[in-house]
Amino acid sequence: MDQSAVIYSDESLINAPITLTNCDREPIHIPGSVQPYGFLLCLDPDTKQVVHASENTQALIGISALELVGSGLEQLLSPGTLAELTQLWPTLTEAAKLLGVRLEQVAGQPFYKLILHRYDALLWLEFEPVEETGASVLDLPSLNVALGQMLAATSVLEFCEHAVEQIRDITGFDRVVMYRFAEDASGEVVAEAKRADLEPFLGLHYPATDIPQQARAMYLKNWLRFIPDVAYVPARLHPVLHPKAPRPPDMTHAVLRSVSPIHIEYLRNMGVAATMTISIIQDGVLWGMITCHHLTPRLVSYELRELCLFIGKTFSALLRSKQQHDDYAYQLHIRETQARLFELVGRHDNFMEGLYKRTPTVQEVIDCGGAAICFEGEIITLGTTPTVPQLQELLEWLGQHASQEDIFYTDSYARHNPAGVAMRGTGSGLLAISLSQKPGDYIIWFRPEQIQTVTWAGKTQKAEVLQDGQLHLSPRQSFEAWSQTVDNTSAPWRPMEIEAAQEIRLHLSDVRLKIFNELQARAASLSRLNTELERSNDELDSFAYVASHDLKEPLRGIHNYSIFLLEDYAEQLDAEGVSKLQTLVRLSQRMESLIESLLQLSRVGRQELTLVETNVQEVVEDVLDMLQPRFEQTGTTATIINPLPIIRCDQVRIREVFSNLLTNAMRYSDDARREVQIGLAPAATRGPRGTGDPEDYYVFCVRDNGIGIDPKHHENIFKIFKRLHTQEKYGGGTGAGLAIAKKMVEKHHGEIWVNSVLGQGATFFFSISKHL
Amino acid sequence: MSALSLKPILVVEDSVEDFTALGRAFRKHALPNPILRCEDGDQALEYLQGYGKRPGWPQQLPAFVLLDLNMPGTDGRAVLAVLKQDPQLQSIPVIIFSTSTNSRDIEECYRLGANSYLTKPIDYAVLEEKTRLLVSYWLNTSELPLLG
Repeated sequence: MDQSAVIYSDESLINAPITLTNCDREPIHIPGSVQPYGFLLCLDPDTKQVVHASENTQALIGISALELVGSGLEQLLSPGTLAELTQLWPTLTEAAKLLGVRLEQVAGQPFYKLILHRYDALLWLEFEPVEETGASVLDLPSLNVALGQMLAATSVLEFCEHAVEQIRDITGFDRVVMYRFAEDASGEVVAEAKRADLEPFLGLHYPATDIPQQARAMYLKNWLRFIPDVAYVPARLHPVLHPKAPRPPDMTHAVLRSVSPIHIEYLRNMGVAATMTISIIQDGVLWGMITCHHLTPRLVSYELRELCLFIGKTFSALLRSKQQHDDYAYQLHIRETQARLFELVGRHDNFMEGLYKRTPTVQEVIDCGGAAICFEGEIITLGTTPTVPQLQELLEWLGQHASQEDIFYTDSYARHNPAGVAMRGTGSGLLAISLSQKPGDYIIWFRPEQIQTVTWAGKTQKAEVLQDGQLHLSPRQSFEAWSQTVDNTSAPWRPMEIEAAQEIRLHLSDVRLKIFNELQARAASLSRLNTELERSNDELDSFAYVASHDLKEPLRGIHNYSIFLLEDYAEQLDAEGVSKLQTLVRLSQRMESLIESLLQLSRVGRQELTLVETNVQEVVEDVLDMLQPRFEQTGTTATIINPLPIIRCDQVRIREVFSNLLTNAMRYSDDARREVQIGLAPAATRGPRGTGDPEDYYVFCVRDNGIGIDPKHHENIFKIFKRLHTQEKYGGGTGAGLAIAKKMVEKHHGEIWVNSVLGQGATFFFSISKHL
Repeated sequence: MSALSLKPILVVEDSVEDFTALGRAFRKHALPNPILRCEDGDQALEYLQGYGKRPGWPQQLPAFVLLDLNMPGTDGRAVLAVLKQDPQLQSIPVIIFSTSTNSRDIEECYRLGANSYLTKPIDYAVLEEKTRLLVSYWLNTSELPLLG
């Protein structure tokens, strides 16, 4: 876009008093006056006659403007110089040309810098007096060092610092700062080189309105503005109006252009007596300005200004590469941190833990104050974040207003939700990525209110208020004004940060998908295993069935034929033969009971429980009735020591468990008077696996005064066919009873265990879940 | 001794030893009825379903069938199912005589129409007692259907 086509100013304001309210429309390019440290002549391009002269010619060279207007330059310059100019006219453009000229026709023949350009259908000749010192300004070696430093700078900030140092070295200004404009056209002092005794401006922000639009437009055309003495009295043009237009000539490219009174006031308020500003322009946009202040008037020679301009343009040209450097460094940080984070995420079983348990955390990927991981109702905070209740409110709000978006970001949450003001200090800005379709699953990065992060020494001092009904312009006033524009606003999120957040979102959703797929696969393989298990159970079932049948059949044959031998051939056998046959009969019987036990055990594990409300008291009484004859034979008394409850269980199985334990209690004793007690165990009783809490379990016990069991066997006795005694003793069972009882109890989600010391009786406990 | 009591008893049993033991036990109780043996399910069905198909075959249907469950080829369950579906044969009492103590087997046999289910004991003395009861119950105590 052609900047010159944009007209911001209002020519009706020419010569009207300019105030803060209309300064945005002040026609600063046509002030109709110049700064009086030099003088201006405008020539008609055709006739080369003077059509305007600044009023201060009288003061500077003793010839009045009136005398100059309408004549040529012969009054001032020698024919030689005039001839030189004649060569120059056709080449003139907006870009200034410089000549050193001696005003030979003027008294004292003073030496002047003549700055020439062509603009607004006029030839512009600006005469600046040359300083007495006359020393050469161009110190190439030091300029080389300066440029070398600028080239070597690895960040925009460092680059700015070198530039302001450089300009201060060259010009000797008391203060040189780099202003950088933000997206919203507000400014910030990002680098400063100053006299040690001055108050620092570094970190100072000011609102966009501090530099009016039309000034910005002009700064794009005119790269350097210079006011050697802000206390100047403007020298008016004679005449004021352009020969071909109803307005003064356009001074956009004139170095002597008189500046806005508002600007002057601002400078005065700061105590600035001389100033120079250089535009930093990037891709046709005003990126920033190098601004120089001096507390006393200071005339900087045109050549030095040109040198500064050169540095400014060099800076502008190199800026892109420094920004890329910055961006690249940040991008690299993001990439590396992301990569390490993803690795952590991949390494944790619970992938969410990978985001915060180890470093780098998800907070460190993006430049922020803090971050929160909100997942499945849990909230993990990292760094400085809003409080948990505030986070919960935010999650609610996101669910209502951003539920359709994968990513939501703002540099001012309060703008969207007035309640957000409460968390301005920690979370004015937020960048949220949704982790799932479920509401409330987010990772959110937070940025504090920008104003709280600004480090300008002067920010806490109170701004001056109205004076004589007029706004008193000053940096503090500016800062105050800027502060109000950024209320509840954080530094903006950069595109690469948003992109990084997106990538994290995608990665996590991939991870979740992968986990989901793994779970699916696991579920599938589990169901496959289950099917296989069922099949193998069926196979085991049929194996046990077939085995029992097929094994029993020959066993019966052996048994029966031994019997037949005994019956039919007894008289032909001696006693030893008979006894061997009897052994054969006994062994076949034992073999059969082993097979039967095995079959029973395999059945217990496979069959589902038939759960019914069972009165355990009745069940035990019934078992005792059944065992009564054998109890009498063995001199056993059985007592139920406390009333047994009604529970939900498989009645048949629990009955078998009691029957087995009671039979054992009766059996394994050498005592003539055997005592068995059945009851509920004390509430504090716990099994080896920790079952037994009265909240969740019933625990029954069967105590005897029998032979006891050595603790080293306490586990073994529950293994199938594990016997501690020979068959001849204690009416040898098959050794399957406790194994079967254990399986039955485990089917009830309980466990069975024993407490016993050898020779001192045994107490068997078993727990039954209350939640069947 | 009624004619009825002299009907044969059909034993379907693949194991020679089991059949020998059974026969010995029956003899011990001086069972007058002839004992026929089929070695497997197919033989048993051929015998029973051949009734009336050829002259003189079989001479008579059995007073009852003692049926083993687990046999090679056509097993006892299949034989039972066929018998109990066959209008000519379904009234013949079928007593299952099996090694299996599995409740599922027992359940299924009764469902298919078995009239009794006995398990084969390992102990010969027990077998003798069971056959005694069998004979006294089915041949002396119960009334059996008259079959053509």
